Amino acid sequence: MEEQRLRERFDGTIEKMSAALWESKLCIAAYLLGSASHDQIWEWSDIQIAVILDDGYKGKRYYTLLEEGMYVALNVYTLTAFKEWIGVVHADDFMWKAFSKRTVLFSKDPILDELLDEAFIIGRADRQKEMLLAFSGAVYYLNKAEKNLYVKKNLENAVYFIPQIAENIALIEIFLNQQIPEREVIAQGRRYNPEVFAIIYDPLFRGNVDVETVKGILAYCAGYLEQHTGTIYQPVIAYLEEHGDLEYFKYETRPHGFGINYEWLVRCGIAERYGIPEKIPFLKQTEKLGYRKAEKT
Amino acid sequence: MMPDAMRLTQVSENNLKQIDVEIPYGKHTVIAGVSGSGKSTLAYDVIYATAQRKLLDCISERDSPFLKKMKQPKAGSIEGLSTVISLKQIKPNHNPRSTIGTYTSIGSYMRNLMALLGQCRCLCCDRSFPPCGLPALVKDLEALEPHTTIEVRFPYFFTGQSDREQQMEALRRRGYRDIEVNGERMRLRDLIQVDENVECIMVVEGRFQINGRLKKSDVNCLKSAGRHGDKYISIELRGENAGGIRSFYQKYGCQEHHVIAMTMEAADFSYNDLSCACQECMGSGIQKIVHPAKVIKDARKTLRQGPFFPDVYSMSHPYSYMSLYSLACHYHFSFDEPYEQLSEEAKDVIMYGSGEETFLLQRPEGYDKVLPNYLAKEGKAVRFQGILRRIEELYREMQNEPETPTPAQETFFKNYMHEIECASCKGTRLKKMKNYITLNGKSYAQIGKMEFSELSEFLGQIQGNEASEPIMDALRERLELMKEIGLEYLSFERRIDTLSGGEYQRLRIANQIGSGLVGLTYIIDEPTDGLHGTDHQKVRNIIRRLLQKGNTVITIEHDCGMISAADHVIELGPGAGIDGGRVIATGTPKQLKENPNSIIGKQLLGRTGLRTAAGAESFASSIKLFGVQANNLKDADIEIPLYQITCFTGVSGSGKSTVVQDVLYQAFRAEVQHACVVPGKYRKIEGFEHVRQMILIDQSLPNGKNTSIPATYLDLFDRIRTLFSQSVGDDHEMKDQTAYFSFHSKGGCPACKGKGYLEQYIPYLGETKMVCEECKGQQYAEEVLEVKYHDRNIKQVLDMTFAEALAFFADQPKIREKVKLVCDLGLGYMQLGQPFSTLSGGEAQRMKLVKEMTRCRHKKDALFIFDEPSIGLHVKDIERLLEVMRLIVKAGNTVVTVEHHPDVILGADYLIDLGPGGGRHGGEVMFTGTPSKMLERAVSKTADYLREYVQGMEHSCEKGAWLSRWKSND
Repeated sequence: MEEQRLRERFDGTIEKMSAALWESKLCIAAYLLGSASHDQIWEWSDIQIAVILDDGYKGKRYYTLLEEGMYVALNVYTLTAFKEWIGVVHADDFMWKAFSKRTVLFSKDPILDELLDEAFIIGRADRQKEMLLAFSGAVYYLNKAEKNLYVKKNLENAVYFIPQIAENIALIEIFLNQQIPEREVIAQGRRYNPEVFAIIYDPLFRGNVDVETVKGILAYCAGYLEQHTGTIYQPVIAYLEEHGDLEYFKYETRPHGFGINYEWLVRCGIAERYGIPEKIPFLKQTEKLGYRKAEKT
Repeated sequence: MMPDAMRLTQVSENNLKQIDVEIPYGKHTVIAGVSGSGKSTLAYDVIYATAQRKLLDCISERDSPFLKKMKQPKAGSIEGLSTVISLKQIKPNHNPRSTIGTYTSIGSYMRNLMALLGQCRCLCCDRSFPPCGLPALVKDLEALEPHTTIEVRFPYFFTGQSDREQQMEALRRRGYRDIEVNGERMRLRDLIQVDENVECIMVVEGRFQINGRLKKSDVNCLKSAGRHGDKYISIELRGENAGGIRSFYQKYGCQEHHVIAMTMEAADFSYNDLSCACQECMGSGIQKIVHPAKVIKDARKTLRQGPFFPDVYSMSHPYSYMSLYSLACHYHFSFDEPYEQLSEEAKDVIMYGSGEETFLLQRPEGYDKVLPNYLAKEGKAVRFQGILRRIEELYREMQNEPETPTPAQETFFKNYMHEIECASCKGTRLKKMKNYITLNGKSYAQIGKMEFSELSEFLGQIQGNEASEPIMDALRERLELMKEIGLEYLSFERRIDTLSGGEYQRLRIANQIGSGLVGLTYIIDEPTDGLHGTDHQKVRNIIRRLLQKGNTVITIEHDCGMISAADHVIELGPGAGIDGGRVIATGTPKQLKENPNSIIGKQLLGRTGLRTAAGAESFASSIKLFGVQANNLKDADIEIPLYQITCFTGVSGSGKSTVVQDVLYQAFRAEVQHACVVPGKYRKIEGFEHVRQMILIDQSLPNGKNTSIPATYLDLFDRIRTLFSQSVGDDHEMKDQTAYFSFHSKGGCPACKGKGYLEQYIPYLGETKMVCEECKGQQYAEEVLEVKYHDRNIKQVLDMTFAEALAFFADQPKIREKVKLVCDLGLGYMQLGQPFSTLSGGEAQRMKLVKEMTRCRHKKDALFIFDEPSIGLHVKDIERLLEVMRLIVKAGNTVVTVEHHPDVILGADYLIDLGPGGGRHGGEVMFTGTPSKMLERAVSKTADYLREYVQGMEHSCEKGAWLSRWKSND
């Protein structure tokens, strides 16, 4: 009963805001984002609205308002800036994820709706990039977990890294299934491959977690990653096959993510390390780290 | 009330001896005298420096503490100074974007004229493009049925600067999502491949729906597409009754043939605007490429021995050795045959690589060097990139780096690369589409290549309108000025850095006339330098123009014609250095002729004629150049006699320097010395077997550090330092330590590091030198200056002139010999420690001559090349120069000189006159033979000028004595 009253209060405020925005000649569209759009609300939820205005607006990009005693957050975009943002935004962007679960309050521009629908179809190039980055993240946390378990004998720390491995594996699963990630990615990833998460994630919530359990999880994770190496590292492996080394390999990844983890290829026996002479002003006879196709392959 | 003259009293700067000088306003005053008599000191160090100080004093109170530290000329009083502008002979800047058009504003006027009167015509249908603006398009779109959807696209042309994937990634990063390739829709977020043959794709800028008036964002979408698509927009209309694609050109474009000419504004013809500039050369009009000849050190060596320069391709590196060996095996050419004997195909594959073709890396038999483990293994399939391709790739990488290139990189690329005309724009610097806009059938690029004389005629044919008339008037005025100063053979697209010093100086004077400023004083340094005699009158005309505008002109001059035409002459002398610095005569040229003290007066009367050499029509040996076609040379055959003084004459731009420097000298280096140079075009040269060495003595400053001085350049300083280090007692710490007597080594002042000055930035003046307070400009530490040799310390010795040094080092024959040679060449007034940066072109050239003569004094069969050695020389010094040239010839050598000065021309044994005009009007051999034959029968501007000169001398001398004497010498 209480919940229903809260929902009605929220809806009333949203409706009022929406009507007010509709009245503005400058306003082209308004979208409801966040919990009020797609999730359950509670007393501490806010109302997040994205407003698209015609070009020429030069005011603030973000407003926090009090409407009917409710916390209302307004994100303001001009139409051209919004279209540009849609063009360049990355899959890990918070607002992009929020827009993926939007509710249209109103739109005076049907083309904008079309554009938004298209914006959430992730391309093959982007998908490959995101998978490589997620893979590198999984390898990074797997290394940490293995070191803590096998070298430092620190079970607690090893367990700490497992959800982070799982999160990156979830991202891989989401992209493999040509979907876009939501906020709770493990739950989303489980929808596409429940078996993996039953093995690597669920044991953490079932009674005592001992060394053998963690060993099993990490071994499974390593196996999972090894199994997907060929697919996800495809552009790197193709270059390696053609050129024999990766000295001049260039691959544009987005900023704020892991770089490509070439060490994983060494671990899998696909590549090997070698030294390339490099002049460093303060060191004699130095070699920079390079990777080339492993002998046995 | 404005004073009638500038008055200077008790001036004692440098060698000036408390002189009083008066320079009348509104007149042309010449300061004359032998080299080193104090002309430049009076003009620049006193008049110009004082005017500059006073001007800065007025405009910048904040910097007055710095101004006090600036050197103040030594003078009792200087009154009646006006603002002074100095027009010294300086080297033009090397920016390839700086052209005569940008410098004189002719380019700017021409752009405006193109914008006003230009016509856009389609090259396919010859129809003119109708103008159409964005407002018209918006109006059209707003009239469409509601709910019509518009998709806006623009064309994107792939450039050759990066690969296609990178270019598409760049588009994607700019926020574009969709493209169309040959009508097929693709998403940039997908992995897409675009066929190599596709040059242009359409990029979707955005979509919007028509609903009455367009939104601002819709208009912005159209604007953005126009901006990115070079004003071309493609619009697809979707909806009922609105299907189809429309092309739209913001302003000018042929709808049918898709020929776009963009807008027609003045800025649209500027190559400094990247949206208009050629996308390959970015508006510079040039490309840098590697010439195969430049990377080969010795073509007689085999591949095994390494014919290339080691920094280009080192055969001592195992991988380089093995890959070239493997390449030779794969393509079946010899590894042990001299490079010059390899087939063209083999040379091609070495220079330009094997492309996509791979070959197996193999080890030559007996080759035992270990291949580093990071390199490809034996037996692996590899490609050879090609020596030239590798350098070009490195160059591109360097250009894309954000950091400034290191000096080592700059030197490397300077050594192996050279500039050629941009293949894309053919040197026009603009996008091809700019050629669709024409004025009377000529594009901006074609107009830019017209000589000014031709451009004047072209302007006369243009039908102007009210708006264009002021621009055409300004253009006509400037073109007239160009004609007056004798630069009508140039074009406004000519790069400034390709002009000679004389051409550049005249251009600067013309600019001053064009500025229209009045009441100024101009100091011009030898304005006739580097000019053919026939052009001297033109210089006089432009000086008159400056005077007519209410200015005062002071020139430093040696030329008798210029002195005769002046209003007032101040003659300094009588000698150079300490023997000069006095006013020996002053007044009008007529008054000077009547003044018995005046040396110039005698010259003006023609009483100091030169002795001329006896030339011969036939000669035993010679160098024969056949089919010279470099620059403007028209397949000329030229024979240069050996063991004589041969003088190349002709008007500026006739091709003299091209023959001598670009062909003769560079061909000798390439053919005989196997140097990595590319000579100018010629068919054949015979006679190099008679020449053992060829020495070019041009006007560029000798290479070296900026701390170079004549004493170090002539290797005198080591001996002088040794004398000082030996003059101290045995227990002295400086005993035999010559480094203490070097100002940029141990002995230098620690505060200024031996410079004698400190550099300080002052607004309006930039980096300004101020005397070091620690050493008071002495450059040396105090304890070093305490050491004396013959009662003089090391600084006092460096401050000596060469004339003084001759007596001072009388007991040191090795020093004396070189010092005497310097004095013989008229440089006795120069100081031993004078910084090289202060040397004029003529002085630098003579300094080089001294060095070469001391180096080759015992050698025979050398050929000395001089480039206008008379520049900056007084008539008396020219006599000395000719004597030195004769000495060189007498010792069994040959002298080839390029010259304008009549005394040097008449003093030569053999003349080769090029002409008839400059630029495309030059490049032909007008005359070859002795000076007397030229006077008798030659038909050329040089011959006319020489005859006029000789007649003038004859007229001045009593009863033709001069000419008779001259003829008797021949």
